[in-house]
Amino acid sequence: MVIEEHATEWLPAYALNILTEEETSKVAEHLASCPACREELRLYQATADEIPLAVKQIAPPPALKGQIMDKIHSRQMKNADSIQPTFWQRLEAILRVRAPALGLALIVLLALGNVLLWRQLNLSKNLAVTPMRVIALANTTDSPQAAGTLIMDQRGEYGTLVVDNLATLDPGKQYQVWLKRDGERVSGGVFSVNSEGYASMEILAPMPLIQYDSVGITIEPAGGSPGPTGAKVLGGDIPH
Amino acid sequence: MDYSHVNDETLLQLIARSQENALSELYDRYGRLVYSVAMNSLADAERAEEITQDVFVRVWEKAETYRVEQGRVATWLTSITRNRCIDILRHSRARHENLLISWEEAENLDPPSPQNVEWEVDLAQSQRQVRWAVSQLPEEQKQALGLAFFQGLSHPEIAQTLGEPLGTVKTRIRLGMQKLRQLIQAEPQK
Repeated sequence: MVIEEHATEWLPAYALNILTEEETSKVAEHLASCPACREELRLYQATADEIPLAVKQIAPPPALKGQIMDKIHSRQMKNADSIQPTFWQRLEAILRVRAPALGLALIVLLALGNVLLWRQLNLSKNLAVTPMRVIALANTTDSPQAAGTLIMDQRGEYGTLVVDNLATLDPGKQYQVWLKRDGERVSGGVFSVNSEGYASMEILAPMPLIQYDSVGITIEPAGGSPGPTGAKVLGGDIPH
Repeated sequence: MDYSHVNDETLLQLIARSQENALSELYDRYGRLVYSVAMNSLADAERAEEITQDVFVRVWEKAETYRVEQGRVATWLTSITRNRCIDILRHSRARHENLLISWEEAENLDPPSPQNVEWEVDLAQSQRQVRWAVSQLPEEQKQALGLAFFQGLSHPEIAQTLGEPLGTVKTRIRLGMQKLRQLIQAEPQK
């Protein structure tokens, strides 16, 4: 095998990773000093990456998903036994499991930033060094009784939304969270409330929450919409 | 919690933060693709199931290592799957009897969900393009490419398997990849 000016002839097979060891090392050596072949290889690798999409689709056995999730769950349980829960895991667990009143009481505590009391409650050793950002959301004429709070970590990266007194919607509808930045909105997730109008959920966003200008909640078809279409029920600015 | 509107990259971030529901959603999206790649590679349902389990457990443990620059999440998953299958084949030196990879018909696409979410639209578009591109290749190029990609056979191994001269096999692989590259970048025919 001799590579003269370029390794063009060998690149398709190199991208498929089917060359012999000797061939592979010669091509790799050439690539190290040839930007043109590196670019050519990138295009072949992108092509090779697409090949699986063309293969005949075969449905896996229905039980397979359950087996995978059981395996994941048991690993999760093992980890939980050996690792102390993080602050956020504790907070989420409390907000999800306890009654709404307790959840709201905790939020009030957070809002007050009463670090000492939190210490007494022994909910987190970390809180003293990581106080959270708490943003109260304003209700609208479509939901005059609704209350909502967004709780973010200190860096504004992650956040949990807690709402109360929102109307229980028809089965075909859900609430959807929107994050707005430079006039563009992305979905932060959908949720439904319980019979008391209460829900809590982790906000899902491609970027840290602090990078968005505002948050809003609208009523959308179940599963959510690509963009807001229904009445806004809660909203607020995210201070930077 | 409904993750159907969450994009793939955010799903991986959530998996990295141990959100089991996010992994469940990722499986709903790509479990079939991963299993199909494993089945075409190994032609063994039991082993394909094991590989699919391995892939998703690995995603659960290594989700934080995914980088957008590596390509799409679907590509990342199929790449892990393919490498695991080829490892098994090379270690066991086992090759399955069926030398013809089953390519999907160009027009066969999963029906879109009524929600028509972005990730589904993107995936369907890519599938349409690639299936059309593969359908344009001559049968002998498809066969050689299939053996190279899904079984990790080298040029001499493919030549021996097909009873063809080594030079012919090298040319088929090279021309097949070149044509595929051009066609994938082109618009599919309506």
